[in-house]
Amino acid sequence: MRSKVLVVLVVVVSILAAYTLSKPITTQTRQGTIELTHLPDQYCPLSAAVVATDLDAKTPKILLDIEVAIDECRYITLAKLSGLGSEPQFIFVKISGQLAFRVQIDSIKGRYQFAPSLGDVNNDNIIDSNDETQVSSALFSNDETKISLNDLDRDKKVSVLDLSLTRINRRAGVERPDGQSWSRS
Amino acid sequence: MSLRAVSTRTAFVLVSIVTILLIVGSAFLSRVVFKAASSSATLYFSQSSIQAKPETTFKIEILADLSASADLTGVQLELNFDPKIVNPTDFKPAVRWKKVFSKVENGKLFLVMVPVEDQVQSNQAATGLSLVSLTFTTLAEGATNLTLTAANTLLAVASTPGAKGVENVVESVIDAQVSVSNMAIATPTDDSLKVNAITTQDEVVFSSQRILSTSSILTPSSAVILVHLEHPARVSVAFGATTALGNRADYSTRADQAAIRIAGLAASQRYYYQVVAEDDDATNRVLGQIKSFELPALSSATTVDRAELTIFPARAATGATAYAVFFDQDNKVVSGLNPEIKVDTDRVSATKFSEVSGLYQSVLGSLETEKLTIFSAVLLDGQELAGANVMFDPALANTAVKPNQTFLAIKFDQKTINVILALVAGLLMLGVGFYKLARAR
Repeated sequence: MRSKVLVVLVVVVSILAAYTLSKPITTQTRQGTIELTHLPDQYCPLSAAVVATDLDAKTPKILLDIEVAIDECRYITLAKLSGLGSEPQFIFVKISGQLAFRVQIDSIKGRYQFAPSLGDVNNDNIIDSNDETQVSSALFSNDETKISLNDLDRDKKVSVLDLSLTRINRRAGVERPDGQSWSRS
Repeated sequence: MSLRAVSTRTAFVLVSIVTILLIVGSAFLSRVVFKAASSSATLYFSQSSIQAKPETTFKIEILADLSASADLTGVQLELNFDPKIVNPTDFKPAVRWKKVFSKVENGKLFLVMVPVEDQVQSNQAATGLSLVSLTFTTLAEGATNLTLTAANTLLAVASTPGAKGVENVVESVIDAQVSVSNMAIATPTDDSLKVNAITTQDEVVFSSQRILSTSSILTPSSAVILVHLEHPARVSVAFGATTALGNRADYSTRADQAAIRIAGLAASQRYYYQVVAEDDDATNRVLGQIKSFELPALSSATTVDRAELTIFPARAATGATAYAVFFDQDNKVVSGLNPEIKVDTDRVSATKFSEVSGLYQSVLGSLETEKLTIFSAVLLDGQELAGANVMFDPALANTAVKPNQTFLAIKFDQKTINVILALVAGLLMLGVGFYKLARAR
């Protein structure tokens, strides 16, 4: 009997210890967000096209289709997506210069992370030779327009670092769930 | 012993094994994966000094030394020259590279190359990695320097596993002197060449800037100049075989502690150097004293008599580099060894030594939030040959320094470490609980 009481006490204490140690983390980290990770330090996207659907793979129902601001250059706050229910759902995200991606969320209070692929300078949601050619033609350019369009890492110049992104990230992004083009959304 | 008791004991053993595996695995990851992209590069020319007659051509290669393995994804060069004296006429990328952009304009050559395949893989530290062969035509008599602009000379490398980004690994660039003369065979006189805008006459001390210390690590073909400044600045080293200091090596980023590697030097040759600290627009400058060093010769033996270990910076926020050089009885440098680095605590990680021309480098990293002084030693065949202390002080990190390590999109900051510790503690306590329960039954 003493042993059972001891076991219960040990379990309770360990749970309490774990909770106490993790408490400051849960209050300080960004809950209820999709965090964009592995991006260049100076890279700061301002907005994202967001489409949310239910989890039905064959005939997904679009729950919302909006443009939202990105907080502190890295966070898409789920609470800002009005119309998002409490059910698990897919969130499709397209940010200028990146391939679109999809994240499955279980709750709008959860914390989610994604490392987007940079390199889609023409915003057709495919990183291919067209992007590489476009960045190549803007290398060392002083033209502000060319720099703003092709400076993927936002270091204020178009360099081989931007060109490399169009080469190592060659692939297609996730399609919009309704089959439309991201550029038309 | 009942079946239930055996099951509980088995559960306890399993929990313990998983816990140990987690701890060992995380230690392995912190040592191997986090440091995978900690490569740095020095770019230099195949010849540091060229003499030619007018209206002739000469070829020169641009080479790279890499301190560790890397996946190269692109090269960008901005090369400066005097267009009245020389003119670039041809650029031939090295094998496995192709040119995607080139332009010659106002005494500058802009060149961008990418690998023929997606990337060029260097599986280990490399020295003298050829990037491009340049052909110049000499136009008129005179002297000029071929200088790579540090800010626009980039070697793009795919960053850590799991990431989809690239980073520039160029740490320093070294120039070459060109002397065009009808008497081309003659050695250039000491005052015929001047490093761009560096003369001892135009020193302007900017506010409270000071060069606190300068030291050097020498190998048969290179030298690492360690510089400690009072405040961050653009740091470069003017150097040459005479006190005229005709060449220049630039550190790529603004820093108060810089390790500038000068490559392509000749063994047993005396060189002179002077540290230069400039403000951002290069208008104010602090010059150090002209010092000299004589490079050691390369030993043909493999027997090591002694080793020298230098850790720089000696006080660092989260990371420092350990440099080791091994000597034989005649003070010649021994290469081709397989040394190990040992630190006296598991709170600091160290990468395996990588060798470039007799210089062995290892990156030390700390994730501690408290000040920590460690002792590090270099071992060869299990024998400790040299040691050095280094202090890690997170308070030295300014706002620009980001100590967080990331892997698989998880941030390994102090908070995450707290969670992991809490979970491990919880698992251990649960294990103890299971064990007690098993014994009770």
